[in-house]
Amino acid sequence: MRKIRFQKKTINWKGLLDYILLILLSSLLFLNILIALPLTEKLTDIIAFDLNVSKDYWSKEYILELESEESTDLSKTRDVLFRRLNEYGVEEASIYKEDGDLRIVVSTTLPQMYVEELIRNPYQYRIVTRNEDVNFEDVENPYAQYMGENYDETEFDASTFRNIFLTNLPDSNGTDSYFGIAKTWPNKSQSFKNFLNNHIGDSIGVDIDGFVTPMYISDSSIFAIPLNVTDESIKAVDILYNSGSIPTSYTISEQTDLESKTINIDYIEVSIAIFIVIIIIYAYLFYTKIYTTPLLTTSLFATLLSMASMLTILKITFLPINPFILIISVIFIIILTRVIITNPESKYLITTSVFILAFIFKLLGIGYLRMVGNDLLTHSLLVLLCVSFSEYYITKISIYFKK
Amino acid sequence: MSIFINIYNGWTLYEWTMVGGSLLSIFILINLTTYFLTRKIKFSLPISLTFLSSLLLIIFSVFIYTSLFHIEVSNISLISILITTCLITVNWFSFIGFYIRTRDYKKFSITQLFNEYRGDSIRLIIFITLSILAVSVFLTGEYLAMLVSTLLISTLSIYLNTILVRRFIND
Repeated sequence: MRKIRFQKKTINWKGLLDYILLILLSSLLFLNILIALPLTEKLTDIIAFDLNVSKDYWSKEYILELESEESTDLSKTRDVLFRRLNEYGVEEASIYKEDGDLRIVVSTTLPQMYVEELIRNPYQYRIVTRNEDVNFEDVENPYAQYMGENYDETEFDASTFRNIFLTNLPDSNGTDSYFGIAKTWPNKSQSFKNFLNNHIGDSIGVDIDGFVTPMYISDSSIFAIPLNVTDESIKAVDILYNSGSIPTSYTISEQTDLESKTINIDYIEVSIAIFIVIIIIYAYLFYTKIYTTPLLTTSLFATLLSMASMLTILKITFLPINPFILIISVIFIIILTRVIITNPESKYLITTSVFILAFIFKLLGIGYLRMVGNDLLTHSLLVLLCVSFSEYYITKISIYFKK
Repeated sequence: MSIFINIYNGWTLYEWTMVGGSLLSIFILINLTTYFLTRKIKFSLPISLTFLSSLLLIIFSVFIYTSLFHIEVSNISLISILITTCLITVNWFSFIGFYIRTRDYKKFSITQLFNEYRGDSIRLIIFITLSILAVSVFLTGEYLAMLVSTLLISTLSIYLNTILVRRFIND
């Protein structure tokens, strides 16, 4: 019987894997562009991905009447209120001193309820003990334990604590609830511990703007304030506790709804126009011969890829974006991509410097400055990634086309 | 002058501290990085002067579009600071990167470095102008004023830097 002999063929594994990798990368690229294109979310019902453009701005003015007439109290109150609004992420907040009052103007897309919580409440808190003359067990006065006038003041107030750390802990019913763990300043730590030791087995309270949260002291090692908050309100409460203490009480004497000056941009029109603009810019650069054709091709490819990736990330994560900041991001991506492509020797230096700069503005910026800084953090890295990918992809794909 | 007094009074101490702190940190970091990379103090002079003059130009631009064009200034205008700082930094570190790569070459010439930097800066200015003007068609009011003033300040600062580099850095 004759043996059948198969001819030995050597498979070029590296070439095959390169080929498969290229197909995968091309698929990802097309998927990325498909998601980024406007209105493609309407093609499928399986997953909802649309750009979450923040358009619903509301704007309001508040006049605050302060109890104190001291200039330093006015300035301190203004500072703390601005800090609260900034930490919460309010896009535009201005606070003016006017004849001993404070005029606050806010314009934001954030929930009105929580923004107003930050403005309305001085959140002056202090530790209080029960007044012995008051009957807290009186069935005809069930609210006695919540009223500030039924308690005696102690030496401990907001200045005693350096921080109130908000965390989720199991309560006496076995369910998880939010608590504020009070951390004292080192110089007041011992006296506060002695105070808690003296009140073990007693009910004391935390008085916030005249309303008391009663607490039973069973242990002096930890002071956990029970908080009646939801997951949505936790950020606002955290800011109220930890953004500095307001030195005086105040009331809102006037509040007026304002017409919000919002930018009305249709992002679909903008996306199409920006795409045309990029093509025109590169066509102009091509005809003026400022750059070589391969460099322009890579730069154009990387720019479009960076923008598509930015839009894809925004669509998938459903992160809210202001249309004006979207335009700023686009300008930034167009410029940074070109700079990195034309200065390959400095690409890491440029990306790192932009990243650090964005980080500083995210950390120390206010309002829009902080928002744009936050976006630049991701955009700088995204552009570097897209430039590296574009260089690799165009080199590889051109090899196959030349074959 | 009353515009500046109004702006000064309109800002809280917290705002001045945060914005001032961020600008000061960036100023110090750019200078330290430049010195660390080049080991020459004279490289810090042009970028420091450019940085300071761009801040003065931003303040001047606020004055112009408040008093001449009667456009109300809000927090939006602060973005101008970020974009200008960012563009100056990007342009500066592309120069430093090129200098570091070429300084040990046998054929290294400072004149060639200046020419290369000026050419690169002009190309960047063209690109910034095209990009910003292209998206400006969608904007009005303060948004448009902010973006156009940012364009002018950035391009002026970048070009000024090329002049200062030639003036202060010489072998």
